[in-house]
Amino acid sequence: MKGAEIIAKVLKEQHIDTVFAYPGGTILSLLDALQGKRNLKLYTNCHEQFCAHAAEGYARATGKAGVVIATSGPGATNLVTGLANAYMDSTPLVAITGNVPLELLGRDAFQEIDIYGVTMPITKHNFIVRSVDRLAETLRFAFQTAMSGRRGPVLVDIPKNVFEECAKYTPAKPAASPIPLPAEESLSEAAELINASSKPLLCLGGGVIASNAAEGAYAFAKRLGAPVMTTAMGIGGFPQDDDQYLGLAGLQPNPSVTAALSDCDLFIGAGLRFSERMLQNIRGSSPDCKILHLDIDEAEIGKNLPAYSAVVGDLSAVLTSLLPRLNQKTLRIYPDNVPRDPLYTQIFGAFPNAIFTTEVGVHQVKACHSLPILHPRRFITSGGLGTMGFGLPAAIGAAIATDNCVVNLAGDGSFAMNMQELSTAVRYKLPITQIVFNNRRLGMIRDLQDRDYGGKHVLVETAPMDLPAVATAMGVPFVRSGDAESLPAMLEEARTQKGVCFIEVQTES
Amino acid sequence: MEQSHVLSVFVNNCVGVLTRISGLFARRGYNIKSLTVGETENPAVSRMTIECIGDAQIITQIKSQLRKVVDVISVEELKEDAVCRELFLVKVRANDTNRTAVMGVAEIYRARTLDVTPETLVFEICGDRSKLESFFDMMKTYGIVEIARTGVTAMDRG
Repeated sequence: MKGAEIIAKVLKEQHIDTVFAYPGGTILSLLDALQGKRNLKLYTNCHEQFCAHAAEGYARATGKAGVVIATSGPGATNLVTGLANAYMDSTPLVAITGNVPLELLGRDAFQEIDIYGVTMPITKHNFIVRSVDRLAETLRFAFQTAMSGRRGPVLVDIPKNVFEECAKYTPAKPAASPIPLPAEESLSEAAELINASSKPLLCLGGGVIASNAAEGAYAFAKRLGAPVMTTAMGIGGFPQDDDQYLGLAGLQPNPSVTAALSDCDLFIGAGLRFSERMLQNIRGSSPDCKILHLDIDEAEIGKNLPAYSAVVGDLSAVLTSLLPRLNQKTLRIYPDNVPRDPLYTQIFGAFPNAIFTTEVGVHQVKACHSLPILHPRRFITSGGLGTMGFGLPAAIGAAIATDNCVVNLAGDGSFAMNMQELSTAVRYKLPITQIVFNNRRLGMIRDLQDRDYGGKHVLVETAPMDLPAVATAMGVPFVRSGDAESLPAMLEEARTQKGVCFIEVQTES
Repeated sequence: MEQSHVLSVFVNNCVGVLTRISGLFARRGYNIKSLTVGETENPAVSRMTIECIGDAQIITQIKSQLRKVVDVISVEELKEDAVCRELFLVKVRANDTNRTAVMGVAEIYRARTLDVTPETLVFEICGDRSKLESFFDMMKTYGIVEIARTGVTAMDRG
């Protein structure tokens, strides 16, 4: 069987139903083999980076591995930002790149690039497949690696001739990824620590979503009676309409977060990596409290913050193993100080069942604070890398994965980076509502220039553009533009639409 | 407290594995004093001996980060009394007037003479770090033309 057909077989073994691919010279035989396969749909975007973001949106909306395919050279290098984004946010992706034929590798052939070397630091692991005999096992191992332990992107680079050469294909079932279970000793130490604490504080990170641990986290929080914060990646890991929900741990903590931090004697960080933005708040408000760190990745323990105690393992397993050992504590409620921007709560009100995605900037911070997300996998944002241009293609991936309505929140700066993806949304008739807050500037950077550089503005005014005309030109059937006051009326209309909607909100800041 | 630690890292003997490990150290700003690689009794497995510098927290981090690399099979930190050896090739300036003296010093260290020219001598010396550094300091007084070091390779006793 030809290498390209073997790949199709392995994708089927892995129950992959969706692939995001951008065509190019070295992957033609692969695309030819994938086209028309039952239970496999091929999608394309306007740029390989968007294929990677779409695959990430797919993966984060479903918990399955996203698959992206690109050609050699520029096709492969265009994946770099997407892979880096997935790496920072621990999203399982498998990227397949074509490369020049084996006999040309290393000779600077047309569209040859050492993508294996380029992506080594931004993938969980990567491969170059030099023989068709190793193709099936390598690809299977790539999926297993992406989906096991702390998830992440894996790249498989395949020279063109390997797609065309033949090998024997032996069917195999996907290898079960072992769930990393916590050590008994660490569990009893953690339980003792929690039971001895009088004012624990729980902070949930992206691990809660990745390990499908939201239910376990909820029961855990109820047993502790503790206030609960999330990181941006942890949004959706705890229902925000719950009395114990406190707000966002990272950027611009609200007064209740600060109060709870300075009040707590045990900080329980679950499925997070203590990013420097969060550390500031903990160190500032609560220098003396003990830290209990629960994470799947042993290397995160003590990396940024020395932990008093730690449990390493799959978060769902950790939380359910801890629960029966914990005494019920009394409920502690802090006043609701979550700074919800009314524009964003209006949007949420119009689309309560949507998946929300964001770009990066002022609107992202507001969305993280404001949207009262209730469920896991309903909020997808570029957390670690902060990639402008991530949101719309991620929305496309999430919409394709779920058929659910998706709302992408954008600023005009980010929209200028990925506006052509509106045409992708239109092409596949996806239920996506794109909302652009247009303040004609890169607001977050401008704010920093105001704060730290005496208000001298450098390169932060965006080019004047007729955004509704752009959306119309892309074929978007529903296009509206107005100021903040007219937003409710525009939302009211948009929520009943079936296809792509575009709303520009003209704002001053 | 910052000090030197020796790690034995067993890795899959495959393309790119050295880049993966050295890249990890470079990227995360860990200090490598020396790194050697060689095949083990099992040709599918290579053994890297990495001498690195850091406090306890950094060394713990290095070990956990190494264990995350898919091609890493195991990571062991060697004990303080481990057998550590390194080999130096040292080319020293020596002519008719001092050749005997230089070779006399080399004799004390049990260095082997590999090459003699009217102007130079090349010695091979193997041993632990303190011996090699002491030899190196002695040879400096005669004038060192060049030196090549293998880096430390090591294993635990027993």
